[in-house]
Amino acid sequence: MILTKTNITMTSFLKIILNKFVLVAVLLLSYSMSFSQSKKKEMDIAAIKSMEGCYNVVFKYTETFAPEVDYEKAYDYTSAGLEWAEIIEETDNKIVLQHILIVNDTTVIKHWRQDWTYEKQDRYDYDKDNRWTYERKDKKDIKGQWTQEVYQVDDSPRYSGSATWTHVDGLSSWFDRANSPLPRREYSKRNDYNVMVRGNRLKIVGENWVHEQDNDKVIRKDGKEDVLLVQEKGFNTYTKRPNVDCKIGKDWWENNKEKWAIVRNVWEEIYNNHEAIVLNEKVDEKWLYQYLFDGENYTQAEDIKSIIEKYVAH
Amino acid sequence: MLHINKLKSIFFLVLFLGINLLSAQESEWPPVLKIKIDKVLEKEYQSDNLTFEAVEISQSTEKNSVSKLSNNLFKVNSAGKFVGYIYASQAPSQDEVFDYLVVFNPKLEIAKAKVLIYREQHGRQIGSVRWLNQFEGVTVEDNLSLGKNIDGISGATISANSMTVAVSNLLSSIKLAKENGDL
Repeated sequence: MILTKTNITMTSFLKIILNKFVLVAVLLLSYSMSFSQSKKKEMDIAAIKSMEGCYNVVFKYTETFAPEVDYEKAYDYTSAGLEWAEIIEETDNKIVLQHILIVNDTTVIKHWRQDWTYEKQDRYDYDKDNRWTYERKDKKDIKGQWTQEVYQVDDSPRYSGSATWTHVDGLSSWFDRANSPLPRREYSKRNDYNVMVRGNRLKIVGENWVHEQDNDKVIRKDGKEDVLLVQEKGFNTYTKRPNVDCKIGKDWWENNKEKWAIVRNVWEEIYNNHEAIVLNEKVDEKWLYQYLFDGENYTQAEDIKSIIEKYVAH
Repeated sequence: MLHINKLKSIFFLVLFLGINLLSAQESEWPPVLKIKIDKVLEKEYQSDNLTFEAVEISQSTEKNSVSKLSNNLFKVNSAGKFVGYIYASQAPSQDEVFDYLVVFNPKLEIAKAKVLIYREQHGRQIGSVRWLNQFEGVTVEDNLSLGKNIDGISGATISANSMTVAVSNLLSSIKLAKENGDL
């Protein structure tokens, strides 16, 4: 074939057009991916934030399957109340929800707290014997995920896990498995297992949500495989009520939030050490929450810091 | 030569009888079973100071009882005080055998029945407390029958029947032992 000047010009022209087309396609694709990623993140945030508000809560737990035939199942546990959940901190990548329990419409108890952080590399994982280990994940392992960190009523650590929110057919859900100490309902009553491996599934449908659990009660010993004692189903439902019904809880938080901001800051300093945390169960025969729930004492930063530090064994 | 063989046979017979005589004085439960029995009894008697003493069974009882009482039936003492009897044995499930325990109060009423080790997936429901509670309060005068005075369990017919027969046989054997003055 003889290449003429016209042929060369045409070939160059077509090459330029093709290159530009590829460039535009790549730009469009990356824009579309980034758009859908940011859209997905918006949906994640909406799902997390939708847990805010006033709810009728019903907690139900029942033991299901035990590998040993002679295991005698514990009684079912049920409880109910009114719960106020408030977003107390919000940035682009973090949402903090504080739960306040209202019992018999008159008694207010600071309940659990859940921190949601986008693509969080650091977290504390429960080992056993009141010990939490520090973990740092690789960036690629937490891409697009949200870490849920759940704290006790005294803002000490409880459990945490990282997973991806999904939004399908009007249902937003998030599932992870997390090691945790015994739940409060069994903490001082049982010693036949020492770790609860939680299967946490959050389902948000409309204005209501469900915290469904498939938990393993296990016996954990150093250098040995976990031994399953029994499995448990948990079904905690949150049914929306008008916010005004939780006014007592909302007001309580308003009056106490400064003190609890100090408590969170003290713990934050401890978490920022990025070292394993071992906590003393009791100090002078008292649980930490018994000191911190004392409305008259332990209101000043130095007192709060001093009492929390007494619980941190190392 | 024949004489030597006879002597050998007598030696082994004496050895065999001696071992059996010794074993009758204390339980021969495998460690896993022992742990499970201790756990049940500690809960039942609210004591960790329990001792077991094999019940001596007369030849007449042994010969005529359906259940094998020798070396399976024990007197239980809590801090030196007699609190009842326990009987631990095995019964067949569909393809295997399971270990069970029956606890009697001093009046020879069943205080607790428990399946301790079950070796297959099919029929495990007989371990449920709700089903086993049916045996509590039963006396040596009672005759048990699955479907009559003991409810069956769907999916565990063979094992439920086996446990019911085992307990029923045990009751008649204990009754015989009592009548013969062994208890």
